[in-house]
Amino acid sequence: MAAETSTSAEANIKRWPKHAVWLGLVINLVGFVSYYLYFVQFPDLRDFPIVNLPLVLAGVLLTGVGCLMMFKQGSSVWGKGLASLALLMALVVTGFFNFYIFALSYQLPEASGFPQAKTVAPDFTLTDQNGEQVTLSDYRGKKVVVVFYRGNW
Amino acid sequence: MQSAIQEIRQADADVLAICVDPVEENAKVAQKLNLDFPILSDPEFKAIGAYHVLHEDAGTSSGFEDIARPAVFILDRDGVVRWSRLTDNWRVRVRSKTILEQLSVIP
Repeated sequence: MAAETSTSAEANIKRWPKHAVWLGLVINLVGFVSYYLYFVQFPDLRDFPIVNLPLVLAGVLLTGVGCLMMFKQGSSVWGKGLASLALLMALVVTGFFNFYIFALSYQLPEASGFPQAKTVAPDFTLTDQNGEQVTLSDYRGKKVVVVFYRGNW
Repeated sequence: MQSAIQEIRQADADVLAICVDPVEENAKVAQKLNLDFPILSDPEFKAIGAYHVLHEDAGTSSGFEDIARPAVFILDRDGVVRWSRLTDNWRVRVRSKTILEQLSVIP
């Protein structure tokens, strides 16, 4: 008799791993996507993603714990399969994000041969966004900040 | 950079941005981000080559084409390089604050 009153509570407890799996995946994906869509505008957060990296990690961790619990609980094959898929997806996203932050964006050629301090900067004439020709040496008399962008905006 | 442009001009300096993209792309970006300094198109790598900031096979818009690595050079009134920064990570860009500090020590 006493066992019956706790079944709905038990049912809720049984469901949390499944919720954890999907909530974790959502957090993981939101952490990843929001970096590129939003947080890159803020130099401090772009340079080291103190918001996004923890989100991505928390997400995959939550999904992992949920998935583990589902296996321990003996959920259906379908449930375990979906949970494993979710975990795999979160791991791929996490792996890629870490690779991007910690490895890929460091891949630059050796910095050498560029104009050193106290040398005259090479002159150039290029076309600006309005189709006008712009020559660097025309700016003599003013200080100039020459910025090279990666482009491919 | 755009947010600091007023202060940069007050320091009697101007900004010239260079990238490999064509004029039309730069025009779109300049309009979208409200940039009011020249964005110069360098598809033949004339300036990119001269400043040794080429980054080969790294573009992302249409396959792995050559682009530039992010870099900043600050020149004085005689066109002499006084400061430069080539970051070791292409996600990290030079801060406006740093540029303003460097400009303030150039006469």
